[in-house]
Amino acid sequence: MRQLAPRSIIHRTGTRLASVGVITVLGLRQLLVAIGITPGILGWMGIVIAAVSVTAGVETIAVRRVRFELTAAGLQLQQGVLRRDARQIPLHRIQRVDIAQSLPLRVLDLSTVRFRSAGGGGAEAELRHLRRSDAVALADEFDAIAQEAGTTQTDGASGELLFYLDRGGLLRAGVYGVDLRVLGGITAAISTVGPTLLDQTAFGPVLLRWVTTEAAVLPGVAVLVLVGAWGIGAVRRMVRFAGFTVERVAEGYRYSGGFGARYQGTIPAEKLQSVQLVDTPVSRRFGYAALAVQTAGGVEGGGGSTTVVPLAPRAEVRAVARALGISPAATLRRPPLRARTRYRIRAVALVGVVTVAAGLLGSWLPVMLPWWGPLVLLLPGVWLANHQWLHRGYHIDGSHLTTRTGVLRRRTTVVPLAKVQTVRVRQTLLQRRRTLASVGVDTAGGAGATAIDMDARGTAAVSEALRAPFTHLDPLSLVPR
Amino acid sequence: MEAVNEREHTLDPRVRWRWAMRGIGPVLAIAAVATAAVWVARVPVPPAIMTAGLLVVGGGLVWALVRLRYRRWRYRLDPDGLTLTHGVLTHVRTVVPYTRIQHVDTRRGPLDRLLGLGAVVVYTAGTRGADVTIPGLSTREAGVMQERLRDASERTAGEDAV
Repeated sequence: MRQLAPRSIIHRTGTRLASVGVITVLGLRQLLVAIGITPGILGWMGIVIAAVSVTAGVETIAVRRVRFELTAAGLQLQQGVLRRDARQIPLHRIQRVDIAQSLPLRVLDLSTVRFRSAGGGGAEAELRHLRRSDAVALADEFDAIAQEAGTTQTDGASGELLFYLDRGGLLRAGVYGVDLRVLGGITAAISTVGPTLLDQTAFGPVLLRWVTTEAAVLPGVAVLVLVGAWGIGAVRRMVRFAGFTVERVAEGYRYSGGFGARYQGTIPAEKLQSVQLVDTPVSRRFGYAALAVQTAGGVEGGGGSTTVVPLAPRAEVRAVARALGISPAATLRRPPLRARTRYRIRAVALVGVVTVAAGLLGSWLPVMLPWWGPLVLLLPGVWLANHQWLHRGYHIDGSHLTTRTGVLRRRTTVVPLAKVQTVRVRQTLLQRRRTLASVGVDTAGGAGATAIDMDARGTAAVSEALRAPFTHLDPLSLVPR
Repeated sequence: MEAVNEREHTLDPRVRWRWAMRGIGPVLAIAAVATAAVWVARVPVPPAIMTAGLLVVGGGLVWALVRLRYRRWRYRLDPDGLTLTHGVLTHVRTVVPYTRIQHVDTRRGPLDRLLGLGAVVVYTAGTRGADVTIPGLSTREAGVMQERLRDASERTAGEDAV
């Protein structure tokens, strides 16, 4: 039986302390303060040392207890600190073996190994962690065993390079990408650590006084946070997508990337449900887009959506989509002009409601605020309404449905008709007034595609085209084209 | 192999009672709260009249909506799939090709059993699969529908649903 890399104790202790340890220590502090004990600096050091050593001890046992073996029968896994679990995962349940590395793991030359099941969802089993070289060897071993056992198909041209992100592309991918999660993280960090920082350190009162007297610095701080978030996001994306590659392999498509050491994953071809081209006003302006694929069952952490092109010129993105067997339509049919009228009215009405609400609220406040303040939103609102119309559209032919929507994050979704599960035509009261309707299809993965606000007179033809692959009851004719 | 019936079907009329029972709950709650508020605030309106008025208006509204909803609900078995049409304010038409049906359940809640009704739930591999439900069939009709849909999906099986 094999064991985990001993040095993973370091990483596991670190992550455990980061997730539970900090909260425990802070909670302990509150508790001690509540009962009237204030431990000195030595006391605190004692508490921290105790926390670290207990965690390290538990993780040491946990790491040493793990035993695993990969054979033709499958994966045997024993683990557990308090109870001993012994698991036997049959080979056919394991679809593939993924290797992942976060930045701290890279420093330690460690990898997380995940055994993915065919059914989707999360991982069947996870090994935290193996040395990078051992992880790669294990993944190769699995490929060899699986091929021998015939649980994965081995036909089709292998190794064809579908996409490679070069240096310039990487730079653009980092700079154009806006990751709102980073901003959320920074906000969360400020709101949790901030109060403690303010009343626990000598620096706090100074900062507080400065901010309250010089209110003008606040916009500056906001800009700084935004730029910082953008910068961190850019670096994160660049670390993640360094040398990003997509190639054709026997069972589907393999993507890999990462700064220094690399991660990789496989998208089984038959699980592919739809592709989505994503662009923002900035990347659109320069003719770039990203490509994500939706799969049935989880491919990356059970999410169902995987990035295959971080950012590339639109023509290249289309070429990659075609290589995946899905061709996006070149031109889409926009919603009728009356839809634009509808969006404009909606925008104006919304601003009106906000103005009335703000006016009412303002009359209750002691300060005088101009009631017309929210009216400055009128112009951006109408602009957004126009562009909402401009970017919406759909196209259907004998093999694919393409739909597009969104201004700040425009998504063009392409679904092969053979992957359609259900078809849904919706008409709200307001849509009926203008003879508009939305036609949506549902697939086995991802959110499907919806043609919003198309001419209601065309829905019959579209649903007819959508169900065309199913109209012949001869089972042989049902094989996807 | 019997040919699948193409006729459009309506739901069992008893489903209106089921929807009405569901809808009357909030009306009762609002009436109770409003009556209590009137009583506490000593507004010079007799609570009995207030309650009765609210119940009549609310009940009427619920019944009107239930009638409309019943009139809109249709389901149809085409040669290639099941089509549901429903919705009062938002009209919805859902098409499920038989090849995509993974399994078919009948569901009977306490209210359904009281009224002798059943619902047929059609599952597909789609992410919104559980949305495809035909409510308010008679128990017998629900059984027949389940049988037919299962039959149709078996006859068209041959393609992987994923």
